[in-house]
Amino acid sequence: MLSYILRRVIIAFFMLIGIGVVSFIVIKLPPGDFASRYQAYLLGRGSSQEDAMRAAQIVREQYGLDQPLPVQFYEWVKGMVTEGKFGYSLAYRTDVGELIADRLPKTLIIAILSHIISTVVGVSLGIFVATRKYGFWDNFFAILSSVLTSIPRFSLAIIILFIMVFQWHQPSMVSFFSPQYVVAPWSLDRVIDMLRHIWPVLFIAGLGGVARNMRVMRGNLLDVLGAQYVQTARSKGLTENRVVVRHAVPNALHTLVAYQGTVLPYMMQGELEVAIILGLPTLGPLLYESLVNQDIYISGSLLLIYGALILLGNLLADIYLSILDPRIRYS
Amino acid sequence: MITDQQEITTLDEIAAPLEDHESYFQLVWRRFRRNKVSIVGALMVLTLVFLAIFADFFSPTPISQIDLDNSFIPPQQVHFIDHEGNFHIRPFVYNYTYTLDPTTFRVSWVEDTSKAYEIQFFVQGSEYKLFGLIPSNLHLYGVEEGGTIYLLGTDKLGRDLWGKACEAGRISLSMSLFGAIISVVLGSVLGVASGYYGGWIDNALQRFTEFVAAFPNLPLWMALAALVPKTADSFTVFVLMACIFALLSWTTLAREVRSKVLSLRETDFILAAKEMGASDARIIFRHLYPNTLSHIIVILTLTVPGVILAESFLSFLGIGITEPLISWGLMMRNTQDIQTLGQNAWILAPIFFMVSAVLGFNFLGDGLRDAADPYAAQ
Amino acid sequence: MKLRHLQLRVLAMVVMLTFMISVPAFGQAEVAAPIPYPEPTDIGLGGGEVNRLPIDQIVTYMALPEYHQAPWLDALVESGQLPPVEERLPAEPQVYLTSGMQDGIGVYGDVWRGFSACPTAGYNDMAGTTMGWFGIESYTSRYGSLVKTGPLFRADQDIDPMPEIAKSWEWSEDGMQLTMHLIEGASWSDGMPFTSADVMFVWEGYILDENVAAPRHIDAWSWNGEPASLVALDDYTIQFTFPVSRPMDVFYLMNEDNFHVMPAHQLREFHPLWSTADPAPSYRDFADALPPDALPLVTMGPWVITEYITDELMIMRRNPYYWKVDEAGNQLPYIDEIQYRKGPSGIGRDLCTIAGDCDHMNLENPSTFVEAMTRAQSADATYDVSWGPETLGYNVAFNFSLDVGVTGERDIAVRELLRDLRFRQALSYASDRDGIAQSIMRGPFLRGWAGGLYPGAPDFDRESVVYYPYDAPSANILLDELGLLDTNGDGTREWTEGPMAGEPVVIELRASQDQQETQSVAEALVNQWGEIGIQINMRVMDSQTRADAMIDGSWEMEVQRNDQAFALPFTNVTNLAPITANFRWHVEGDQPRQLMDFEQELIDIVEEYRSTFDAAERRALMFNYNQIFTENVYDLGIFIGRYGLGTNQRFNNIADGTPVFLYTWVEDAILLDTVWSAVEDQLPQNRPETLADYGGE
Repeated sequence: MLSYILRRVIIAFFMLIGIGVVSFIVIKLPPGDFASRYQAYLLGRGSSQEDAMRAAQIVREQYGLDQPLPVQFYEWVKGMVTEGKFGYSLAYRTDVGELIADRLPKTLIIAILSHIISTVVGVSLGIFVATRKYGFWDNFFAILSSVLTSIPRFSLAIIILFIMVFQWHQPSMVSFFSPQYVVAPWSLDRVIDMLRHIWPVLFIAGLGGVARNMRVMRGNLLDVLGAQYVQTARSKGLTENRVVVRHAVPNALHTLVAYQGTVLPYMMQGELEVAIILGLPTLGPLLYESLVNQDIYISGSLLLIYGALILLGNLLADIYLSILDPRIRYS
Repeated sequence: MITDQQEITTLDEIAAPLEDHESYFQLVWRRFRRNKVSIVGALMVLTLVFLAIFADFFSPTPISQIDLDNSFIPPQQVHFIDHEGNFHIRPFVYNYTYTLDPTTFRVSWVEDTSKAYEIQFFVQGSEYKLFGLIPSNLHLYGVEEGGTIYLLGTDKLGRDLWGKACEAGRISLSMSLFGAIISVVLGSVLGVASGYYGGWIDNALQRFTEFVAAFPNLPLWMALAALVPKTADSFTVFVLMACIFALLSWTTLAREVRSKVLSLRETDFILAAKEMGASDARIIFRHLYPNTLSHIIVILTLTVPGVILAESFLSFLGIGITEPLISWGLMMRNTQDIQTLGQNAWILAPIFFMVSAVLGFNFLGDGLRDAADPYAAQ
Repeated sequence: MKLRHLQLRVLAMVVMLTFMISVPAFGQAEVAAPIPYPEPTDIGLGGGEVNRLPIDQIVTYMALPEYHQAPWLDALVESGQLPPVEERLPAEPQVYLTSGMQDGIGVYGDVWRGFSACPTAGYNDMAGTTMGWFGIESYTSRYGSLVKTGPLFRADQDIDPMPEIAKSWEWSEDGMQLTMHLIEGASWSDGMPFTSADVMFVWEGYILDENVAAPRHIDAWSWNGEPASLVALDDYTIQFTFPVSRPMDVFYLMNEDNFHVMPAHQLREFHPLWSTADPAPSYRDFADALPPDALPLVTMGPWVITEYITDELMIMRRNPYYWKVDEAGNQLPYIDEIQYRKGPSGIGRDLCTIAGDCDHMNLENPSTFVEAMTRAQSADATYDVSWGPETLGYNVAFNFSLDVGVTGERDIAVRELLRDLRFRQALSYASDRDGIAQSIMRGPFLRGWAGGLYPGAPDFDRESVVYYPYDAPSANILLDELGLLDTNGDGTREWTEGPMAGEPVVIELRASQDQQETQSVAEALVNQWGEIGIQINMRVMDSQTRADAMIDGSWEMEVQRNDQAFALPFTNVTNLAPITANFRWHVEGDQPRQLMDFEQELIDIVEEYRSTFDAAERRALMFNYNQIFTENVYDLGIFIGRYGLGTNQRFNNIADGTPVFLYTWVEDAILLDTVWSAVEDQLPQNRPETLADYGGE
């Protein structure tokens, strides 16, 4: 068992290196670099072509963008290994680690909140509909969840934004807080202000989770309810409610728990589309912007982090399952 | 040594009772038919495919022609009762005229009730080529010269959103099907190989699968968008996109096929075939594939909606299909400018097509899965 | 001299008339003749006429009998934290005259709420480090430029700039030397004195130093290859020496875009030339010497950045050492605080302003205008919109280079097509300009445009425009003449001769990811040019990829929003004709570039324009320029519109007719330090009654 885990960790480590290399290559695939972006910006500000080009060339030299790719990669990795630094952001002129640390709490707030919502709501709904198999509510929620999850997330975000801006005339939608709460210390008002801004993300990112959890829970519960020990419990004269709550639900929750590990990266990426539209300072938009700007170390570091989370999630799920189910071979 | 001749006869004998395909598919079909939801799903998909193929016929105006004078016309209402309160047995529409607010330039559309245009069916209209070959000028509906009929309104280039959305299905559906098929082929080959051979091959393939799954798609797309050569036309971009969709989405399938094969590998008939000295290729293609096929078809159906959604997001980011080709995602891209949307809310209409497609394939896939699984509750 | 220009002009008109009459005769009587460019229709909008004044009625420098400050500063003076206001001001502060203020002297207080969609990289902006644009630079460090050109839209001439930290100047007899007098006794926001040493620091440490990414380097300060030089005569006097007499564009090199002072006492120690640190800092260290958290900012500007929460909020507070007052002696600015929200895209600013949460937006995308105007007219609107002249032009640019970015037979064939006048004319005939304009915004607000100078440019003359009407048959005739024929009947024309014979004519057309309208135009053109058998591959690119393609020369055609050189040529003459090697439409590679005949004519005109001071002569030169330009379809104009400025209604002193983008972007033109709001309209501040804390003081 232990050697199995160890082996998996070692393999995961090498895969992470692989992800680093491949991401770096892919990020550098498009022509141009951050300096050409800078040049475009200067042109947009009314600089002459000549001046903008020269200014870009200086930036290119100063930040080593004219170095060959392996050298840049080496510098990046060296920084990570020796100094624990994720490289240098050209747009922000700061250590990428700081930038990520800055946005990570907000991303986690959204990820965790939407995860809690999707678990609580999804599981409750799953129990609710399972006990009403093929009834009105079962069909109602099945159809509702299918329809809502069939709408592209960005469209949902646009529609929500549209309604809030044009129908409800809601101010300051495109941010995490209203300005007066950005610098204020935490308080109930601040939390309310935050929720007022981020609920569309929670709603949309949580939606997929709710639908999935509901389906899984419904299926599991129906299986369990048909199992013998539950029949026994029933025959002992326990009320149906008690049977469901005491015996069936805990057993049906197993698979949901097993896949908790894979949920986090999914949740962190899930906010991407919505956060881009709503302009939230979370990691998703940072990744997108950095890809657009060719701010390579931000992109590289984020891809690496996402990759690591996914690998970790898979590993945890596998370990959990192998503990649960001894039949799975450790090979 | 066992000759080929011998092997075939013996194997056929062993496999015969298991390979009763006909009855299996009959069984699946019977169970599938009973599932109302999946029938609805299948009908939705078929309708969209039908609309896409015969888009020229369903659209009253030529679908590839722009008409800048008629940009952003709201959906025209179909009337039975005219402005004087008279009932008409044949439905009709009024043309729109607009007035311009002198201070805001806001366009207000009003129906011009001076002339009603009756909706005619199976009318002769603009020329088009069915399947690109058969010339025709038949349209499902239309109004006489001078009238317009935009049931879903028009987009910024003055094209009928209904006709355009039908046409967009060609790209969206074919790209997602094409992508899903490649993905399924890749996934099943790798899954079968991984499950059947086991050992280091399995290990390597598993890690590779995990690697691909752990790699975020977005940067690949953005790289692709910047790298397409300038002479590559939209169609080449289309093919490239489908291939990349495939390359990124095969992993789930590979994993599922592998576990299916793992369980089959230990079954008697495979062991027997091995005992008889059947070649690997033979076992894989004659025995493992057929037994995982139903599963693969289900996955195929369920991969399609994923590709449709992914394509729409890419178009939204501006790195997908471009004019003159059109996809649902590209049509949705026009809604991203929130202020344009505020003026012309009807441009959201294509979303109904996209949702129907995603929903349809999902229903279909669920139904197929239930039908294909012999152990599912009746 | 003068006579020659008059002759030229008459000649030009004769040529044009002949051209207009004769084209139908030898064009096989089928290609449509150019039509007169229509008069603009009166849109009945606009924020009123600009009240143009002599500069000395807007701003002057003088001592006033008494000075006042924001009331809450009194307590700080009493407690000794701050010197009295008289001591903080220079002996002769800059005085904004009431005659130049639209709404007169104001009251203190309020917060200006801005929005920035660009990351803040640091505060050493003269070294190429962006502070976040969207006005962040403009309201702080850019107030320390030698002279100011942004507000010139209010002046009655545009040769002389507005004085800024250089309060006056005089030319030597021969015009080779320019002596400038700086404000005396002014302080940086940390209380340190400002002297000519700060100016010399910028000259030597940024403009002369090629390793620093300054907006303009010494090569921009060179005439005929000879550089200018600068010396400090004393603490408040500097002297330029030029290789030529009175170079006309020199003041545009020392304006807020290109030359503002940096605090030498703070930055000198980071500069590799002067640093005593060991190891010596690199130039990269210097560019990053003031990272985003190096606050508060040391500036000569009216506000000081005091707090920045990355990608969320920036707060600026008033600079108690600001060296400008109004005529009553009130120290400026009136507004106590500026807050900047941060977001990933400029659309955030529009939505924020429309919702009444931000105070300023620039309307640049015509498809959003109607919504902004509708909301501005509603009863509970919080902002007004005013419209500038017709200078918002979208055009298609062609790549004329025969060798840069060319990788094969096909590329050469395409470039040769683009260089053929008949081909460009054909594209022009095939473009339904008014239709495209109407599809983007109905009504008279947008209209077709031939390209070249903007109709809103001061030197624009309608008569100079050669305007090819929308007429697809003419386009087809021209293409047939070129030997591009649809030989296989697939709807796309093929080359019939040369190495590309039999190949379809497929050309790339780029549009910009972040400019919505370029995509709308490109989508329409894909279809319209498709009708005449030219297959267009449309590519939507982000600005960086586009800029890159500009360098490697791989682009072919591009829809773009043209720049302000076509409104005010003297602000950037090198953008008008292929004078420099990097002229964007015709880059020079290793080989000398092969100029088309009319390009040489354009160069000659522009070179002459550069050294012409007389307004009428300049106008005559631009008449010629525009005529040759449009006749040859040097670029293909599509439509023209106006920029709109949306500002919150509670503010006063925002001059009528303030253009969003003319001499500079509006943030440099608006004179925010004179803007104020009535007490009852004022909003609560984030950090009321506080100042930047520099520690130690």
